[in-house]
Amino acid sequence: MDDPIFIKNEGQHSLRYRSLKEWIGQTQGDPAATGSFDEFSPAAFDPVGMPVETLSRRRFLSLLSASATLALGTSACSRIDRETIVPYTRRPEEIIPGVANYYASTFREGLITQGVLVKTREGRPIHVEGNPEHPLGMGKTSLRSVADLLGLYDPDRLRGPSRAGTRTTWEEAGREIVRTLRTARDSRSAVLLLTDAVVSPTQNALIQDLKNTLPNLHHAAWEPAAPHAEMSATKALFGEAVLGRMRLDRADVIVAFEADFLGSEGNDAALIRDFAARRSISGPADTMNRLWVFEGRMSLTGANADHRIPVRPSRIAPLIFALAGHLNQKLGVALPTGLNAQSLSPFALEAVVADSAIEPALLRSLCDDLKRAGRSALAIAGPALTQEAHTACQLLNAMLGAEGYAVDASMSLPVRDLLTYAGIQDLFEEAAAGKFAVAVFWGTNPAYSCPQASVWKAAAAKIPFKIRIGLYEDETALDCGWRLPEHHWLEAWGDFECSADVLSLRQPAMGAIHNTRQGEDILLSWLRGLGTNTRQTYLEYIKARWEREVYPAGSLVPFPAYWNAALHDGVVLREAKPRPGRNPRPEALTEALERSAAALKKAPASIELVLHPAASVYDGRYANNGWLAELPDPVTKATWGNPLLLSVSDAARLQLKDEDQVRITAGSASLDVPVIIQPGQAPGVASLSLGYGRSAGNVAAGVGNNAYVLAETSAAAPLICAIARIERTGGRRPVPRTQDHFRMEGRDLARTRTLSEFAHDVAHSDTGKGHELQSLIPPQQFPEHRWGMAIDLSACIGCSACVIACQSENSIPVVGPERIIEGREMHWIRVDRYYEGDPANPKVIHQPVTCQHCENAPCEIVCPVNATTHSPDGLNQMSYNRCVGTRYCSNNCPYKVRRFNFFDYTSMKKQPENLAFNPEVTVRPRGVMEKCTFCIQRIDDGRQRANSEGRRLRDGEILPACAVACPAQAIVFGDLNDPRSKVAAASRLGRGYHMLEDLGVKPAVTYLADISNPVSGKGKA
Amino acid sequence: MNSRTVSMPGQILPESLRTPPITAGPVSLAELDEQVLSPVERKPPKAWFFAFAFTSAVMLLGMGLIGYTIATGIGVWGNNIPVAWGFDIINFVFWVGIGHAGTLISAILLLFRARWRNAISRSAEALTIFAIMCATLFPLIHVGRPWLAFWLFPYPNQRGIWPNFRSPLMWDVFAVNTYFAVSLLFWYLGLVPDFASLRERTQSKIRKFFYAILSAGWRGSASHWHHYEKAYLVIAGLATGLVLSVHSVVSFDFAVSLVPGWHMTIFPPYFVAGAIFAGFAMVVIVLVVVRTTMRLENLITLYHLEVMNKIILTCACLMGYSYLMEAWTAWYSMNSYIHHTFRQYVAGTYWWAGWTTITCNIVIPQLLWVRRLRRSYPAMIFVAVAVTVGMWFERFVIIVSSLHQDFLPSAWHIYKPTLVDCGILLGTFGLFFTLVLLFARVLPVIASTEMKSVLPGMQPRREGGTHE
Amino acid sequence: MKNRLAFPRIRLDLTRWQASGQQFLAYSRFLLPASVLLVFLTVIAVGWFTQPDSYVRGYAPEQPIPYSHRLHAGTLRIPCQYCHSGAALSRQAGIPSVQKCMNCHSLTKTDSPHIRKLASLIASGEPMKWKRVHNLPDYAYFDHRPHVTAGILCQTCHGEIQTMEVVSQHMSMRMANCLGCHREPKDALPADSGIKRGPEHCNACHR
Repeated sequence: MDDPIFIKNEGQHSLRYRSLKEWIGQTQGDPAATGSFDEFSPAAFDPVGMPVETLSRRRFLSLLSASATLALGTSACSRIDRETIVPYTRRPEEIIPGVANYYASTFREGLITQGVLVKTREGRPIHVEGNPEHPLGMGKTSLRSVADLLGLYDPDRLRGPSRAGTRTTWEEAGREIVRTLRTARDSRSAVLLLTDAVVSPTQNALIQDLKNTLPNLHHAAWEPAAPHAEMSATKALFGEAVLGRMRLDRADVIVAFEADFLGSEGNDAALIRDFAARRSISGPADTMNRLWVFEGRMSLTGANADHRIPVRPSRIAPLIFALAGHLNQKLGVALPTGLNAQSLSPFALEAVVADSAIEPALLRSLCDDLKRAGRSALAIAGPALTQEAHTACQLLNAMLGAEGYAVDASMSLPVRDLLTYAGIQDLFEEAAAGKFAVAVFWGTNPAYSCPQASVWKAAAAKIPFKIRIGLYEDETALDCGWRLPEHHWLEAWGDFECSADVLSLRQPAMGAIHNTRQGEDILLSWLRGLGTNTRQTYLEYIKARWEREVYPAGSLVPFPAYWNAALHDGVVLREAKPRPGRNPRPEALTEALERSAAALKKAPASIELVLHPAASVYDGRYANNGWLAELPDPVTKATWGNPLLLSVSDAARLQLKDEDQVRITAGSASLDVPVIIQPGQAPGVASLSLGYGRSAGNVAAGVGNNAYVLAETSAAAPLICAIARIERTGGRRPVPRTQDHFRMEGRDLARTRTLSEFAHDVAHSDTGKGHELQSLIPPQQFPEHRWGMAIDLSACIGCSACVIACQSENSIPVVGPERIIEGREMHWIRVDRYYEGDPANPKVIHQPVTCQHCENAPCEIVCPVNATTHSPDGLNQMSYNRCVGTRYCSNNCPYKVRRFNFFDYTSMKKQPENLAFNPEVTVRPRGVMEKCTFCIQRIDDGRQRANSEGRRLRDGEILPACAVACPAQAIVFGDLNDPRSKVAAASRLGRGYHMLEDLGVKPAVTYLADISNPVSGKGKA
Repeated sequence: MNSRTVSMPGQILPESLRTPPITAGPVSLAELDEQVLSPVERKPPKAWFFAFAFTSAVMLLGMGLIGYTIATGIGVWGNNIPVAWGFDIINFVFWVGIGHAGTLISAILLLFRARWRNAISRSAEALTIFAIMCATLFPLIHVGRPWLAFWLFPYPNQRGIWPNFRSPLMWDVFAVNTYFAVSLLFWYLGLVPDFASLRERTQSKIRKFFYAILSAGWRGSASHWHHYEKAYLVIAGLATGLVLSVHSVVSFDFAVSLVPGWHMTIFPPYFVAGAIFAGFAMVVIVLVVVRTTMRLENLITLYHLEVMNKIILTCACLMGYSYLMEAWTAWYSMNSYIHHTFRQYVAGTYWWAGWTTITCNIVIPQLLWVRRLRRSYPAMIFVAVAVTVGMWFERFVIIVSSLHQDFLPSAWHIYKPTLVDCGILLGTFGLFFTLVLLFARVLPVIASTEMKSVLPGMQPRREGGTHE
Repeated sequence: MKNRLAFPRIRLDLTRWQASGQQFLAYSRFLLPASVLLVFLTVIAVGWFTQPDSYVRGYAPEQPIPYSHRLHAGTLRIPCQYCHSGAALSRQAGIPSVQKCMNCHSLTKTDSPHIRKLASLIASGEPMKWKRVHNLPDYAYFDHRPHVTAGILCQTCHGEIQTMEVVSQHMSMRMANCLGCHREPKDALPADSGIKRGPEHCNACHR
């Protein structure tokens, strides 16, 4: 009986192994299974870095030798003869090693300037915050000004002047260029100077000087994301391109048309602050603004709307005119003088919205709302729209009396001319025709942002002598013979006109890292070379001009003192007489009416594509900034690229799923992009963000697609183009998103109430809190302080400035798209975004989530080595150096806010990028857990200061980076033990609650429910 | 224990239910020694070398990948946030589970005087030890910084701090280490007399030397036997407790946390049952091979296998009960999170894993109700393999499916194992079977001395001895 | 009890074995326990003799110039914080800049070669590279401020610095040592100093 059994067993024996193999086969199939084998590239930067030695010769050398602070991380080892201490040879008196200094400076992006404070340690900028002295920002600043700190230390920066790719000296370059300019002047051949927007009066003066010395200099400014249409509209209406300031603090009813003024457009912190200030209410009695949004794409502004109406952008101009008509005919709001009511007749509400799903009733209630608000109503049109739309918007504002109140142009200055899309096209066609002998490309990057690459190539080929003044070896630099590296703005001087009465100053926060010069200094040297007698440095140039023009005559303060004070504050307020109220020219209005009446007749394209600047990398200038590249888009939560957003219905019609790869064709250009189905996107509207698809830069190159090629330069609205075809090219391209699941699954996570519901709750003292959970364990004692946070969901608009500020403050690594896809992002604070209701037009809720510092922290009991513990001041602490990396704490964290170093992300940082590290925070090595600390380094420092000054801590003295950065002031931080502290007050508010209260973990973070204010909500608007 | 409570079923039960003889046919002491001890002295057959080459190759693959992981980082695995534990802990729990049959057989059955265990205890214990070796690997390599894993041990240090004794992982360290130590001791103690016999039998000087060391001077004197029996009973007593404690503690890793689907009071018994279940399956697989390839059919009889299959069947029913209890808890607790998690088990991202578990652990073992299948090699191997796979997937479901969707939907993320994960799992199987193969050649796979004690008519009188 | 009775019998057996010419067997049985014990002891020994402290303490490297604390702090009684001015203001006490040395040495001992070296550094702007004596790992964020403001003497941690010709590390830099003082200040500090216990939570030093 043995043998048969024996044979059978052999069979069975092998069977066992076979079944194992089969089972392994299952996982070999999927891509992620192999994904982990390819090594991680995108976060890794250019290996050629600046050695520490060259650094240590500079005056900003840190007391602790940089390599020791940064590189070693937490690896404990024998430290015999390992380190040297290198003190200053001459210590600058303002620097105490180990103590941070702050310098006021100014950040500019396009037409927007923001006052900032640059935090430096041992002369090296490590963080950027808003400048509280600044009347516009008031201590708030946009996420991109914070993130641009990384640009300063970008390893890709040009490190010295070069000619045709070979290094050269500044003197050599100067000589050569001046000679060429001379010959150009003598031969009367034109010289092109292409810059980005000129907001600085002194820079402008300098360019004028250059013009005077070089009569044939042709200066043009190119800002791809500037509000071109609005400028031309205002020019036509009021004679000059003066953009009124949107006074959201005064506006009770705001109606935005395809305008993302809270999001990607300029990301103006002042606007966000004013808007949010009217959203966060302490009780139902408070007044609240109401936001109506008409838009095609789902923008961040739309996500915060009380009423969001999806509509095709091409239909917006008629729609606004229709609203104006209704206001005029039905509600008796007077039209501006000279405009007869008949011209509005083609725009009847019902007619305009006939081909869309919008109910006229809703529009009527909007009109009532606007009339009620009167001059505190505010209509805003987005930069993508046509000039007519902007004209219509101005008309609306003029009718309601908002012009001059909610739209305040009294202190605005005319915007200096900018090239339109048509303009730059013409310019380069002229250049291609051989108009220019010399071209200087300063700052702006036309080789990338010029819609038609062919035109640029032709132009570049035809310009014999091309000079690039810029930071990087970018697309334009690659096409230019001379590459003159420029100072980063943190290394440079400058001044800006924020408005007629506010002048803002820029000063270097550190000496230049590389062998670079300030662009203005380069121009000055040319001026001198061309024989004009002028200042030696741009600093002297500014000071001279200021002494002439800004320094108040007959002031008692001597100019040097005045100048130093100005530098210290970073801003100067001066008397300026407000410009008189303005009335729209009727002929401009009628012309616009006729044009849009014509537009109304012809049927819209099957799918309109809206191109918009990205919330993170803007128009592409920050594409090489890892922090911004990895910043989740506030709405889609997509990182590292620009997927095509389609509406639910269109995706269904085209049978497309998320992450399908498609080719879109518009006009002559076509693009291969992955698809994301975006709830709330208007049917027939697709959208794609600009700023990606760069071809140069170690971070930027190959990320996303360049959407500029789709812009229709000749059209009335270049950034809204008709898509001819969308066809599936087969295959899928995974979109790295930090959030995969968008429904709240009926869980009580982010609470929302309408104003009326809130009033009802308060009236019936229904706080929505569950019953108090009983515990057998005695509560913890917090004798001195108990740090806590309150996050106001009503104020929070989801802009994600907190994420960037946190990343900068806590030296959080960038991990790259592959890691994001695997779910290994490192952000300590994230902004969760949920959709509620009909996917065609859902309600959007933003909820910043960070470590909740639970009193009964689940992570603490499960850590086997006591690496995460509770402090007597209520913090859930994480000691990286003790962590062995069991990751149990993360499993047991209900909020999943803990991040794990799956790889050694720090070693991927290259000099000088690691100078951006905060010396007060440990650099986390591979294999340890990390998480939000409430910025323990700031808490410690604040306590030590108070302690050594022998006083108690003041409320608001200690703030984590996110709270400082939050433009909406949605994050309140302080001591919960102090009943008078802001955070304690906020936590007591009626709409306060703890997330996942029923778990009994007792978070230190209180959320304030989001209050919306729809018309039905009886808001006091 | 009071021996009078223990009565051999032989006397009171009807013929059909009587315990069949321990051996198939009469075996004399000399025959037994020859049969059990001689393989150790003989040169292994070709088939063994092939098998050994294969398994050790697989083992080396695993070791290589572990090296790669330690050099590069946990990132080469599929783990992420929220699924911070993946194959690593699945394999750990799986292997610890495999170990349990051995201890149960050698310790608990010894105390219960189940005479049939003597034939299989040796190999079962061996499996236990090998399984724990595979298991202990994972807690070590799964941490982010394995070179600091020694911090988990409470030793006097210059930091002035201790580990966190509140953490279940801490308890694990103690539980598993104790378990390994006791099992090893128990196993070695059982081996001592056999080493002695080998020492006496062998001719080669070297072998004699090593056997002499291992047999620790055993001469089989009455006092030796006396102490031996005492020690054996004492350790058996200890081990008995461990059978229950170890996997209970392992289950605390989950039960103590607040992850929906982990936070369950049923976990300790549920895990212990599962462990014994998986363990017996593995023992059956190995024994069938050993018995046939090494011609031990007369000592390890079909009866042995059938009894083990009965235990497997019992465990299968226990598992079924546990699964039902989970479902009941999910429904009765009215807790939306647990609701969701349980729905995920059967109809979520990893529904296939859930159903594999149920099919392999509950449905397939039901075959063993049929006596003919209980006694048929193909059937029992099929069931055993199914159970092994099923129990692995059970841990997969518990860990991955629960973690990948817990409290905040915003944090939900899918988990995909990488090839490295699979390679390391495969490697531990390689390690396991390599050790098994070595064991089969260098040690007597049957405790000849224990066997002698139960051979017909050869019961030595020990205190509380059996009533025959 | 039983065992002690059992023992002589074993002896008897030995003689029988010796007779059978297998003496090594008699002792072989000790080899296994012995080796186990050996392994255990080695582990302990290695652990004990490789305590980081054992070779970090008393570390007194040669500095680029033979600066004498005995002279400056001892004989001349220059207060510590005249040079290490950061102690009360910053986490780091700080090493004086070369310039600070020259405050005095531009007049005194200008002929000494070492002072000339300082002068040359000032001229060239090159930094002075001192050897670091007291070195904490980078994850330990020791803050001088609270210790100085609490009135703890520099000597408590840095030893009788005013007597040191060459500075050497006096205190153990191990965590237990810090904690010892934070837990029981009485033991380390003069009894009359009314200094309270220091914080013991992790982030007091680690971030």
